[in-house]
Amino acid sequence: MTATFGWVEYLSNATDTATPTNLNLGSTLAANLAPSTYPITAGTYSYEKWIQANFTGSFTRIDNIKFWKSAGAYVTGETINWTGEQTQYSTPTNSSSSDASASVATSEPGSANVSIGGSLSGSLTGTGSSDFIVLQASVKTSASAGAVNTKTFTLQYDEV
Amino acid sequence: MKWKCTLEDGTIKEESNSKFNLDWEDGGVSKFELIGEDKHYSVNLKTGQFDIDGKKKTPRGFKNNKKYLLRWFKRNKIKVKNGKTISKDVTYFMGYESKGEEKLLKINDNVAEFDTR
Repeated sequence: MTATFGWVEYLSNATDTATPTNLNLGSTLAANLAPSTYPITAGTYSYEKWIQANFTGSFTRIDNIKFWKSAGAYVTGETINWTGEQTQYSTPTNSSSSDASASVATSEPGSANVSIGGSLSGSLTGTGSSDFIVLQASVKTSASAGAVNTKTFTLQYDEV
Repeated sequence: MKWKCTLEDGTIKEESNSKFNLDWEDGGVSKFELIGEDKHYSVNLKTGQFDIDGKKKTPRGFKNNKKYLLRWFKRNKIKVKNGKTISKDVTYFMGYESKGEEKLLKINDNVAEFDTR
């Protein structure tokens, strides 16, 4: 028995979803955007990206979901904020996010930081998803023009 | 009684360089052991102590008079770079599930820490 993992992205409303092939952040609300086409202007925010870790297939339990930035340095003035515990969908904004309000972890967290069913100790026993992970990038006016460094994010989960 | 098994994906099948042992004592299983080419797991079923490649650990809160399920856990790590999934790593480790208490005692063999909830 093995679970099948995939991302689900939520766009303009709770039923407007996509199965993304990339999670790039940019200045438009769209799945699979090209950052060079939708750059983030200095002094502004990216559109939030609302995603869930989705699990299908046959498994006994999924739990202990962790998410962190595992590689890629920020350039001066760049920040990526997030939350992994949002249970209610909201239309993504390109203003300062009230959901993605904490800095994303830069090393493996000691315990789950993505909730399931409203709880960090929650679990899935059948097909389902984590709660919403909300990401937002911002770039201060002091940032230099040009591309930021490539980032690597890691999502980890335990499966029985 | 011996079976051959692989530790690579947690399944039991015919392999030439691995084995699965059960030690019996006083009419019951006293030790469970999986031996692969470069991995060794054994569990003392009387004390609950794990021996993972020589690291001996007993889960906190293990009680001899409670019933536990010995579980394989699969830890999946998905890496996303440039917005795209670039790798999916899987490691396996053992632990206990406490029957009726919704408790999982996991042995992380990478750092020999316990994830108790």
